[in-house]
Amino acid sequence: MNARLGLEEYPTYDSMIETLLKHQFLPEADVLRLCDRARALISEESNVTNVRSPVTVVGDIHGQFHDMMEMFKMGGYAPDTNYLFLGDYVDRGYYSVETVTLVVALKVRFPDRVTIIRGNHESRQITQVYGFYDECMRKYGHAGIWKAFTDLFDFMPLSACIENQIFCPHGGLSPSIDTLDQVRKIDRFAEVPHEGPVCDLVWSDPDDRTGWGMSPRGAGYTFGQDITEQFNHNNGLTLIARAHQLVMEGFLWHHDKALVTIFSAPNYCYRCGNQAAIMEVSETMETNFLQFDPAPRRGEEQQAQKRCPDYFL
Amino acid sequence: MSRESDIPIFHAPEKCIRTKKQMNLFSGSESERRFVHFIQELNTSVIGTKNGNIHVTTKSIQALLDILNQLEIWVSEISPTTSVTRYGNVAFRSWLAHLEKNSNVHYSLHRCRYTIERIYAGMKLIRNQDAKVELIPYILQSFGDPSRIDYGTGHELNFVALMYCLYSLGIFVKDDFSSLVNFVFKEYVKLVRKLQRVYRLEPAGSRGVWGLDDYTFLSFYWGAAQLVGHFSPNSVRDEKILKENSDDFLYFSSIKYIKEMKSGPLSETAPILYDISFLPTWKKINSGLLKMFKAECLGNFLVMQHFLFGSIITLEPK
Repeated sequence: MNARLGLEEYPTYDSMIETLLKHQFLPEADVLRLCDRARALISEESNVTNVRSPVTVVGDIHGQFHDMMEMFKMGGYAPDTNYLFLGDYVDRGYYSVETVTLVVALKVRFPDRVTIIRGNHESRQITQVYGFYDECMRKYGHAGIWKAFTDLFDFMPLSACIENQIFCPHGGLSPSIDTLDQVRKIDRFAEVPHEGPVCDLVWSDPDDRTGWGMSPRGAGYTFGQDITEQFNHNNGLTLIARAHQLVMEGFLWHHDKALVTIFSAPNYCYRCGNQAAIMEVSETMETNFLQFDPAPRRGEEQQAQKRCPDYFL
Repeated sequence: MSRESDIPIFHAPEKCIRTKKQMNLFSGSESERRFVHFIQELNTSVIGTKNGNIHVTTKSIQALLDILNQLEIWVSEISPTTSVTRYGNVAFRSWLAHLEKNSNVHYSLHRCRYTIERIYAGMKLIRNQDAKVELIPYILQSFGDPSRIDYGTGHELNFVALMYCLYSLGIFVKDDFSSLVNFVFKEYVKLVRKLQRVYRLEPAGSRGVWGLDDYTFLSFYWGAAQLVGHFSPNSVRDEKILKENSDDFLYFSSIKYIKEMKSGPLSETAPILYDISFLPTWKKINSGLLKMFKAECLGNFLVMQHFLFGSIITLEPK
């Protein structure tokens, strides 16, 4: 299978994207085909995918589809705006299927303008606990769509680097990684392991304490300003931009502006009251944050078929 | 530890489950069976009842209520800080530190007629042993995690563990069971909601809309038992009934809390609670919730890796 779409395929995928943007149902066969195309495409990408500026960096979305639409309205639509998505497309929110399908469709249609990397939730184990599996079962009645997506997740790049200056993993750094070259050499095509560099890249968090610390999450590490500065210095970087943690204003500087957290799910889980943000990186590598609030409430939508968990049968 | 054992050796309970494989040390064990049995007996004791709002007569129940009341007073005394934080407010750590300091030996606040010390005194009489080392860790874990500034059903489980330990020690007897739910647990839920709001506690390990609720499980399990014979399950979708009866019923007050805290229709923000409101009886909901509780709290590694085991709730190597 060709990794890239042929010209003659553009109309099909354009109409797919149009359907998704309208929040209309995409037939299962289309979703499966999309996953196949995406796998062929992203499996060729590096563990540290090179990204050119200008680009807009997006943090966790977690199935908040309508809020992602709000984000596009503000930040611009692909391909007019280039996007780098930092993972955690699925789980917790009600519309993970719609969200991840659209993100993947944009990647397939505009491979040079959209970059997607893996978050800790792009995993079989995590999605079985935090909702994406349940949602697929509810919306499609079987696990086929979940399987197609989780198989695709294994191929997602572990990080991106904007103009060799801004390093972008989903979570953070790892004690087993000193250089970007070490990241490039990892064999990533597997489920996120319980420990080691891949696990750390998607799970770790910055901390006020220096050095490495045990993560209260039970996976990855916490790392201090000294670690961040050393890593940036070793690799000629100016900044680490990552997602992974809820932040009240949608973005938060840490480590004397050597690292920034970006979180793009406003009013997280319908209750947290936080703003969301995306980070624009200009051609000249200046950063600008756009904050946004939740999409206005819609009327009660036609919900998927009711499905009591098996405990109640 | 059986209640009749001669010389119980209390020790501080600690986290013991470190790998998924170790889950089988608890799942299906006698220790788990006894703990679940306690939770079920509390359930049976509140079938068709309501939250309590009259004076309590037993001293032990009153002691626990006084403690919760005191903890709530501390919330008003320890205001959230205005400093920039990631999400949760760091004043929660001060609140917990205050609890830790005062739960130790010097808990003698004049505002409390019966204090934790009183409970300890009761224990010493019964056991001729100081069991507080066993209890304090459960109290400290009942209100959230200071490092992550979050709260979830695992913390709720610790409070139930505390009640279970007090029962195992003879501080509570079966006659107290309905009061443990209708008075004590109701007040506990009220307190943790206050903590969630005031210190902005992040939902711990939340499954978002795909979980039963971000913060509580047993409010729904025991709450479903209370509602037997009062209202039908579809009342959950009736605003008027919810509004007028949420003080009386744990289940209704928890639904009302979701509606206050979450934006959007229940069918989207809490689809499981919405769907089960179409089931014909509370009995059906109640038994389903028990199965779900066993599987998704007690049987969940993510919860149980943080759970504490000691000499009362034991983890026996197989």
